[in-house]
Amino acid sequence: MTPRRIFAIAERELVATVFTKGFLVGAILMPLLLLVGSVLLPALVAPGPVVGIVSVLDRSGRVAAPLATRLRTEEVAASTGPGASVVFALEVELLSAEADEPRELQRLREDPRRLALVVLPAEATLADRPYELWIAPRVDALAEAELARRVGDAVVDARLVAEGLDVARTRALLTRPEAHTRTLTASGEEQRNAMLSLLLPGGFMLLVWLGSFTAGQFLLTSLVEEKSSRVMEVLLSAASPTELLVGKILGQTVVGLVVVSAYFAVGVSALVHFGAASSLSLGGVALLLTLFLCAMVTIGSLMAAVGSVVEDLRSAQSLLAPLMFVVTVPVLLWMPISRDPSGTLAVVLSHMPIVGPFVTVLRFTGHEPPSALGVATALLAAVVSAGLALVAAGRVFEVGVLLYGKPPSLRVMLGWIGRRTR
Amino acid sequence: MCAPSDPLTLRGVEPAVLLDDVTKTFGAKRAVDRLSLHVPRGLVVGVIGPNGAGKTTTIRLILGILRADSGRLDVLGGPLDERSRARIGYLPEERGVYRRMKVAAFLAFMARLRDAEPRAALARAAATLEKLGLTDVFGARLEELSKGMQQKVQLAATLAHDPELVILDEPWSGLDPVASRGLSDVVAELRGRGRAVLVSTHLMPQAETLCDRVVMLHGGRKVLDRDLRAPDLTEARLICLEPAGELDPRPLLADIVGIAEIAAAQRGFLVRLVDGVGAQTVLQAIVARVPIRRVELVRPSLEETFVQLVGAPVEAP
Repeated sequence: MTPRRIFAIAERELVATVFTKGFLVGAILMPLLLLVGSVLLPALVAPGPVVGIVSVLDRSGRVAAPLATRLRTEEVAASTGPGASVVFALEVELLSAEADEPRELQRLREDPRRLALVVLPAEATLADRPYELWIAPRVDALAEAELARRVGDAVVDARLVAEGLDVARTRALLTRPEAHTRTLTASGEEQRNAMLSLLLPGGFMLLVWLGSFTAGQFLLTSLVEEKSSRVMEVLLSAASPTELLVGKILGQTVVGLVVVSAYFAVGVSALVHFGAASSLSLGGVALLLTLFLCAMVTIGSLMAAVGSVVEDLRSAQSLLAPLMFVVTVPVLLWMPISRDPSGTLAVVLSHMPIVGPFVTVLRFTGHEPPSALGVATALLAAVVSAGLALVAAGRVFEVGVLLYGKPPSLRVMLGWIGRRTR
Repeated sequence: MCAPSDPLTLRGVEPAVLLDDVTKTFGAKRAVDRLSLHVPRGLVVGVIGPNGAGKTTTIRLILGILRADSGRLDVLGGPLDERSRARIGYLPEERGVYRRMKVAAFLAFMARLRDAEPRAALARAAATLEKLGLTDVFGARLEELSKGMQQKVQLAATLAHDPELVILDEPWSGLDPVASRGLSDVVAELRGRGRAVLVSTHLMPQAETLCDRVVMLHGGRKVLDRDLRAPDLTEARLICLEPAGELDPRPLLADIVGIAEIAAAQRGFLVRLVDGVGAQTVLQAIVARVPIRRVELVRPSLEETFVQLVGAPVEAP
């Protein structure tokens, strides 16, 4: 093998893939849009206050006053606050108990300033007694839910008053205390965001998955193009199949790294934005990178083996179906593995070929990372399976790359792995 | 039928390609069957034969794309290795280019694969393209060029690293007459510079024009190995005869043993010989009986030889 040739092939692969509109849009522009979407968009598209008139027809005579208080513009704005999903700026119209309901509905229908009509029955404060809430079409689902919550709270307030209880004191007594959760680890206590610790492993796993599969698909497409355009024979006259295979995987690994880096940058920005940057460590990033390389070599080798025996992408898809089934396992088992990263399922899968690197990412970034020995054995398994995949792909590649016509079956390809047939 | 060694290889210079008793099978099919072949430096050797004769497999064996089952195969002085691989230029039958690449980038990439310095390679490629009638294309994308132009670029890429051994598989395919002439000039120049050129083709007239020597394959076996520069008159089966004056020689030659047929031609007569009869013997008998203005032994064309050897005309691909 000549490194210069390998680098020449890798460089061409990288340049031919990266400097295309499709790549720039998919791998660079998309993460940037995600970044804008996750960090900047909420601030940019924060909805304005819901402005309008809410009419209250209280036949019980007990709810109108507390409801007016709860719907009062100042109080609602203060309780939801800027950046909240719903901000009200309401004008409350208290109707007399004898008001004509059909007429009020007519006004709601015809007057664009009116938002809602609340009709409370005479027994509104009795338990399980419903009320009617009429809303204008412009009231969205979130505003409707918030309005209903406020009316419900006002009815409860009225009940408490009817029972002779102090509303503020009773409410305070019923408020659940907040838990300050800290995790006690071997190195001491640490604070942890429970939701983040559940979602983060999946995020990292998808990052490795996305990077290796995007680059693997590019490798497959590139090989199919080279075969169908018959440039392959020229390449093989100048470089050995091994040089070609290694060069192509190397080039696409760099492509995958570009993809992973772009999405990783978005993830880190989001973590920093939400104050969770402490979830990352240099060692963790290094391990993530190593696992990505193992995944990339494995997936790239399998894609190259398939790409070498076909002349069009449709034939490739049918040969890839079993592989796709296997690699979706970590995605399907993301939650069980994340919740029990030291369980038998997680430990066994993290040492399996193909899926191992993805499962190890899930385990390592979960709430209970494996021991150093556990990481080492999983990493060793990932490196060995990547090496075996490369050797097996090399055997298939050197035979398959010269074949034209009907692609061989998986069984035939497996037979090539066992012997040299070039 | 044909000896593995011949005078052309015994000139004290090691051949660029040496195949000795090489066999390659695919399953039950023998694609190349005990083939011996020499490609000396400074000569153009043609490998001819119909489709499926084993030409492309032979080339792939020489290039190391395929491995021989048995036999000896040396390229540029020894078994094929990284160094010798970089000294070969190969134009495959199935032309292929990276369509979205620019011409200069494509040529530079191909040169890098052959361990050549890209700038010098581009200069050589430009010279080759000029000979083929194609200029100012370095900045163009290959997909913007016609198929014929792409082929010229590919030929330039084949020669850009100044290879010592040039292998051209069906080089005339898709070339217009002007480009074909340019190709002949390029090959002649390569020969003049001492480069070994191996041309594979099913176009026997072209091979006859361009090559110094041809090796004919059929069913993976060598059926003919002919030096076209020093004609072997024993192969001649036709004598072109122009008697002095207006003499009709047919009555005078009617009883000569070995003459199958005498036919009038535009200028003189064509004497067809019986198979197995030596041309020299018949020629001497003719000269003894008829006053001659001009007499010429006509060697059969490759096409005729092929039909004679194999019993079927060469099929177009």
